[in-house]
This record gives sequence, C-alpha cells and structure tokens, in this order.
Amino acid sequence: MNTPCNPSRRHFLIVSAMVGGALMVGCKPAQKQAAGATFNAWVRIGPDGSIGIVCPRNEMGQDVYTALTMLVAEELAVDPRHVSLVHAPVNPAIYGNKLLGGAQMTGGSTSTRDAWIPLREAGAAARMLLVGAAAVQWKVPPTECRAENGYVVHGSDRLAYGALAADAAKLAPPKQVALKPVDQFTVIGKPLQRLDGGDKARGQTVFGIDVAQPGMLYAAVTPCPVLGGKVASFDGSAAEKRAGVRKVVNIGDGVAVVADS
Amino acid sequence: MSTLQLNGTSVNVEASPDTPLLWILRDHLGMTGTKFGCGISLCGACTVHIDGAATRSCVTPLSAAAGKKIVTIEGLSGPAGKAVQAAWDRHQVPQCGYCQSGQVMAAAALLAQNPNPSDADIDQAMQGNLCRCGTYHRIRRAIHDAAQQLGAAK
Repeated sequence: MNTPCNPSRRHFLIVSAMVGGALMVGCKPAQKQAAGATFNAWVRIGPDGSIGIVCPRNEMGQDVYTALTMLVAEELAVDPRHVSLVHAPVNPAIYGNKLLGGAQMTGGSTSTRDAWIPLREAGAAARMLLVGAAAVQWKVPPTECRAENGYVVHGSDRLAYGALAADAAKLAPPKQVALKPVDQFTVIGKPLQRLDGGDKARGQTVFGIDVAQPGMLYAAVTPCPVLGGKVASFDGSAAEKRAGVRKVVNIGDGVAVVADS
Repeated sequence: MSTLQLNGTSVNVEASPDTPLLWILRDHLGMTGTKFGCGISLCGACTVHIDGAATRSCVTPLSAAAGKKIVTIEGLSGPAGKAVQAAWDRHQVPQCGYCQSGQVMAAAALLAQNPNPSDADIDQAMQGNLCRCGTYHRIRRAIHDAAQQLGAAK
C-alpha cells in the first residue's frame, strides 16, 4: 500500500524489511523515470535497536547533521544522541532540495526547511508502524499504546523498537501520518550539543578529501588567469615525465594535471 | 625504505625521502585525520607532533621525520591531549571541523610545554592555525579550561 509522503514531489511512503529483521521507512518517487531508484530510506531501525537516518545534505559546520537528526528523533520518540547518520547517495529524485529547484544541493539556509516535513513524516511513520506491531502482539488497540524513548509502552508492558522492527516492517504504511503538535516537542527547539563535534576533535570525521576510491586519480587545475579566457596552447611533456603524473589535460578554460596522488 | 616511529609503533615506508610527511600519512598509510590545507605551512591543518613539538607535516620531508617520535591526531594521548579533547567537547569548539585536528594538536603541544598559558601565550602558540569558521574564541576558552582541568588533576 502506498501513501502520499511528499505530494509536492510525488513521493510515496514505503516500508521495507531488511535482511536480519530491520525496519526501513522511506520515500519512493512515483514517476516512471525515477522507478529505477528502487528503494531509498530515510530511517532504518535495526533488530539490535540501532537507529540510522539518511542525511541528504552536506554538513559544513552549519550543524545540519544535528538538526535533521533532531527532526527524525522528535517524531520517532528517541534520544537524538542515539541516532547514527549516513550520507545520502546521489539521487536528486529522492534527495533533491525542492527549495533549490530539486537539485541535490546544500545551501541558502534551506536544509532544515526542506527536510521539515519529509524527515518528520518518515520518523512519525516508523513510530506508527512500531506502535502497530506492538499493538498486534499485545492484542490491544494501537491508540492505547504510546512511543517513548525507544520503546512502545502499554500500561506496564513495554517493547523495545529493535524487538518490533521485523514485525513492523511487515505492516502496511500508515494512510495518514500524524505529526506531533508543536507544543509537544521535546527535541526540536531544545538545546543539544552538536552530534558530530566529538569526531571532529579526534580526526574521525570523513571529509571529501578523505574519500578514496579504487583506481582514483587526483587532478590539480590551473585556470586561465582571465575570466572567460581559453587555452591557446600548452606543453605538458615535461610535466608528464614527472613521477606519478599520468596526463596533462586541456579542460578548455584551464589545464589539469592528472596524477596518482 | 624509511622507518617512522609513529604513534608508538614502528612503521616502514617505501617513498622518496623528499615526500612530505603529510602525504606519507594520508596517501601511503591511509591516516586521513591529519588534513591538507595549504601545503606551504601557512594554515596549520596538517599539524602533528614531532618529538613533542607542533610541526607542519606538509613541509616536513620524510627524511627529516624518520627516526623521530611522531604523534598524529589518531595517536594523541597523554594528559594534555585528553584534556584538550574533553575541553573541545565541553565548549563545542568545532564547526565544519576541517582545521580541528591541527588545532587540537597545536593546543595539546602548547599545554604539554606550558600548563597554564595566558591569552597571549595561546595567541602566540595558535596563531598559525587558521579556522575559516572563526572558532578562535572557543579555542581559547577550551585551552584555558583544559589547563584548569590539568591543574586540578595534579
């Protein structure tokens, strides 16, 4: 069953089980051309209780990792400090920024505004599914259950999200996602230490320059010193004799030296 | 072949002796905590400890580092290093974080040599470590805090 998730982008909320009993909640684009995108998650709950979210925006000191984690954590009723985060893959159909024309870009103070509804809906949908799975197990109406700090609670009974993830993943997505009223927020709008500061003080954060791919080469570019200027000619032969240099390439408005390091 | 005393272990490296230590760390050994910023010793992002002194690895050739005691952000330990990182957490120093490995290494080297630095001492020791986010005030507060914690632990 599909339910509109983000009508402005024609996305549909979907739920999926993962190998090992994890619950995944995400959005799938309805358009035919994007159907190859298969499944892209916003929220993953592992059978061990681990909670992960996919962050579609770049962290560059503006604390978007912390802010977007808070959006999910608020609706999912978990401590944001217990949520892990992974980068979104390149897929503008899912992760595009509608405030920047749909491109998968970070900028203009748009990240939190763009994610405000979709990420909260993903968190809320996951919460509703977990509540639903617990209600089935306890044979009680879901309305008598509540989500609280990583557990579903009914009277004196409680079940951890991890123990419910596999069952929750078998349920149909909710037709209507109920977002928390603002006056019930316990995470959003409250001070929180930035979640990635510790890694940054320990050299553990992976920046773009730290990513290595098999067979990857590096290029250093010398642009034309005049805006709009084009390369008239160049002689890369001496540079190409240097150890590690693969090729010197004309890139139109400059010259790039491609090398092993 | 050169042998480095790196973070307490002996590491053999096969590279030209003029290769900057920064690229030995990042490219040859895959230790990416130490950052490339400018490559000409102007920004401090590549700061490591060589025999305890804060040193720019981007302009330190392998030949000059071999045989000396090298510590990178991955191997930072000891009271000053731990105090600096704990203070960095308390004061939420990093923003984008790119310069922070170098900042932490420079601050730890300062406190190891001067356990109670003044503002002027901090400015003097840290002036070569640039931060485009502008976290300088938090850095200074965190260094004072770390110094206090170190003093209290004695």
